[in-house]
Amino acid sequence: MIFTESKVCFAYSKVIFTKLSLFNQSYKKWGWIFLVPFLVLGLLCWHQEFSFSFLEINGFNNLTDELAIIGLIISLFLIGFSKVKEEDEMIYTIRAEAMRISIYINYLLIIIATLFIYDWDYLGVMAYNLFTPLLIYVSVFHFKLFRLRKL
Amino acid sequence: MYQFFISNYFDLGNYNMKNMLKVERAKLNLTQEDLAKRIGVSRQTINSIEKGKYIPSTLLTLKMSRVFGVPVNSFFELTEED
Repeated sequence: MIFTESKVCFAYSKVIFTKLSLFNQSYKKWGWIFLVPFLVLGLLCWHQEFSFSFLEINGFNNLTDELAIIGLIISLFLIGFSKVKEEDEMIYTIRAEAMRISIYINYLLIIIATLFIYDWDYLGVMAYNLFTPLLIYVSVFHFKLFRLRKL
Repeated sequence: MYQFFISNYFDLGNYNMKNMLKVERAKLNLTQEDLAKRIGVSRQTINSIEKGKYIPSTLLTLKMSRVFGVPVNSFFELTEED
């Protein structure tokens, strides 16, 4: 009895999860809008040590890099995990495949970077690695969608 | 390698999957778009299935069989490769 109930519960939660696991279609454009400024801010922060003076707390701690990291991650999430116009089972498959490929490429890049980059430069690899899985996933997924649209 | 990165590639082993979707569509005079709307997917999905690039789920196949009014076996066929 309990077994069947838990089974039903599991099936039901699966349905709920698949329905909730993607953002609404309208969120995608906000992702694209926020991506560019946060990407530029992140690059400036890392390479030029740029910072906003109004984000300074305690006189020495600046929150600009935190803002850039969080903004970039959220905008990439909105782009990658919003529903497309016609979200059907093939899109689901393509999504899963894009994730698999992004993990492969990401770790391949890490291996290459580990072999050729040392010391403090390696910190840069780790900083970039915060975003590369999502970045590669988003680009592979959209490349596949682009190819699909031409059919 | 190209297929690994680009297309939805399924390893069917020694089997081949044929589909007669086009024939069934022609019998009912349906376009890809019509069939897609009827079963709630995009036109590209139907196109990919017809080309053999994408293998649909059982649910989608059963929906198609309902639209065509024939059993699944009459438009999807599993053949052994020579």
